[in-house]
Amino acid sequence: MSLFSFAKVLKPDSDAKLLSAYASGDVAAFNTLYTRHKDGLFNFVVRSLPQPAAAEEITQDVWIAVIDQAGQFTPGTATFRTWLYRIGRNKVADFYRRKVNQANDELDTTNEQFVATQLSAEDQVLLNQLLEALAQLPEEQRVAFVLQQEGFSYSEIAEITGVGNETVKSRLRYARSATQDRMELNV
Amino acid sequence: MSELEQQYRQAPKLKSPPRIDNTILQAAQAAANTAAVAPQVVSTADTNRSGARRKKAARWWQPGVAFASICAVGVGLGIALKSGMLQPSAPASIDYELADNSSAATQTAADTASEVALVIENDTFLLEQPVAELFEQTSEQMNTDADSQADELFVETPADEELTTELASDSSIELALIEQESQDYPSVASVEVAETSVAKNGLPESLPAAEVRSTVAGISATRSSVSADTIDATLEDSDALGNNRDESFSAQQAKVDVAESESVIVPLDDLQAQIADENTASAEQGIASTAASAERQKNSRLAKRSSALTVAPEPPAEVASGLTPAVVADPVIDSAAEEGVAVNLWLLQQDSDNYTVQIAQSETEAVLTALAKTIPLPTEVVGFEQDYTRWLLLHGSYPLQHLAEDALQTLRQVFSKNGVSVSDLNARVVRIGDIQLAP
Repeated sequence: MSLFSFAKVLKPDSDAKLLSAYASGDVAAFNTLYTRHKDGLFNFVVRSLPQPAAAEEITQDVWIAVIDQAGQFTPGTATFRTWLYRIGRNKVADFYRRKVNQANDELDTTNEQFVATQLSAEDQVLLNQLLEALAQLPEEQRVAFVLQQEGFSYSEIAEITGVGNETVKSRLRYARSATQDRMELNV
Repeated sequence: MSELEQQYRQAPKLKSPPRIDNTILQAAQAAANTAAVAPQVVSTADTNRSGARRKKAARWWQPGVAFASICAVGVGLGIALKSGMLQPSAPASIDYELADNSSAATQTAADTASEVALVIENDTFLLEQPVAELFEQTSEQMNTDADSQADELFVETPADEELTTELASDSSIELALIEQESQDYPSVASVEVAETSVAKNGLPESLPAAEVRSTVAGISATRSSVSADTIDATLEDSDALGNNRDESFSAQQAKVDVAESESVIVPLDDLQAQIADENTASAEQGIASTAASAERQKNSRLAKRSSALTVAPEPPAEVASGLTPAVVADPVIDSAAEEGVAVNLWLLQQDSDNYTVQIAQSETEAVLTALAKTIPLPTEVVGFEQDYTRWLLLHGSYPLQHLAEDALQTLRQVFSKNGVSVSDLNARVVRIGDIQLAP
């Protein structure tokens, strides 16, 4: 193995490079990209929705959009991860808009089908309470909170959600406060 | 990191369902295989990049090659001509055609020459004659127009002439100016006033302005003199009246002084008796006034109490508007509680359409006692009501139901923070009109 190949193994290809390779017809590059981000995106979508049952469909829509628009991604303007989550946030917003029109739909706040069983019963209860409290948050606050838990900075969240940094901080502050209050109320 | 975020991050990472993975990967594969839009975009980009390189190269070598080719051809032709290798000669076919069409060509050339000459003559006529005349006429016209416009600009108007004439006459300057003003501004008040004054005083209307003004001045002077005389007369009258008053006042004052000097002489015994009588009377009057004051205070207290029992004060503005779901602590409750009617009174004072929060007495007595020490509630109501009804009235009066529900939520949170189980709090939101009053 040459020194170049060894360095290539140590430093994985950037997301933008993988997407560019896929745009050139390299399906393996897309597989790598998908494997790298699929769980994070799925987490984000599930936590952002009041109805986790719709998460699969929305996640699938997001990736289909990535496939369709792979040639239009410009690395200089945003990172691939920010771009991906921005698509995801737009799909979640679309879902909320549809939900407003479907006023009779009951909210399904049960997350049991997605929650792993490694937690103790007590932790599971707490987690369910947290998720229920999150589900009651307004969409903007919930999305901001989940994005922060996914590791995004304030500026990245602002870029994804299309608002300013101070707005993001404000939403996060309200989200934490409201979630805390609801959880204490349910104790 | 807050406790909430730690708890969130303890949650297991969700796994994307395999069926989604398969669907998406298949879609990616299909997109790459069939449409191949993305690779086309890239290949197009590659093509563009190589094309750009070629164009960039063409920018420098293509003109050079063309210039070198032209130079080479030119040099070759020059050498050939100079050496006599090339002789310019017309082809035989051209000579033949010229020979056949020579007569026709000659006739056509003559016709064309005559037409050209005619056209030239016409053009000369059109050009030589009119241009010079037109130039002169135009310049003359322009000068004439300019002079006439200047004359129009500087010609004196009849009004100006009149004004100038009037200005030349020193004796009637002001009249002329006034007349000019009256013509220009017929509503000038000064002129109308002057004419009206003149007419009323029987003077001729055509009087010059100077005379008119002198007449007006004379009238004013007359008025001022009359006024002054009148004032002087009035002052003299007033002085006379004042002198009379002073004299009468002095006489009365003298009489009073004499009378007072006479009344100073009083026997001592009479004076002591008079003082004793006055003391007795004032003591009796003091007792009577004290009793009357006590009676007034009693009546006032009774009136105040009755008003407190009957008149319901209006709720605070912020509560009435529904903006602030605050606890309503009514000061009337303090005094009314002493009378034993606190809750009933409080209820009567509230709008029956308002909502309040009630907590069951038997289950939460200890809780309420502890709670009353921690948060600002109308504790008088709580402490008093428990002797009379099954329900304790606890929490304010709210014009909207959801405000009362918010208050109840706040109450639950306060309970929770104070270590009280929420299940112990048997509370509800009720309409005040639906509350059964205590017996």
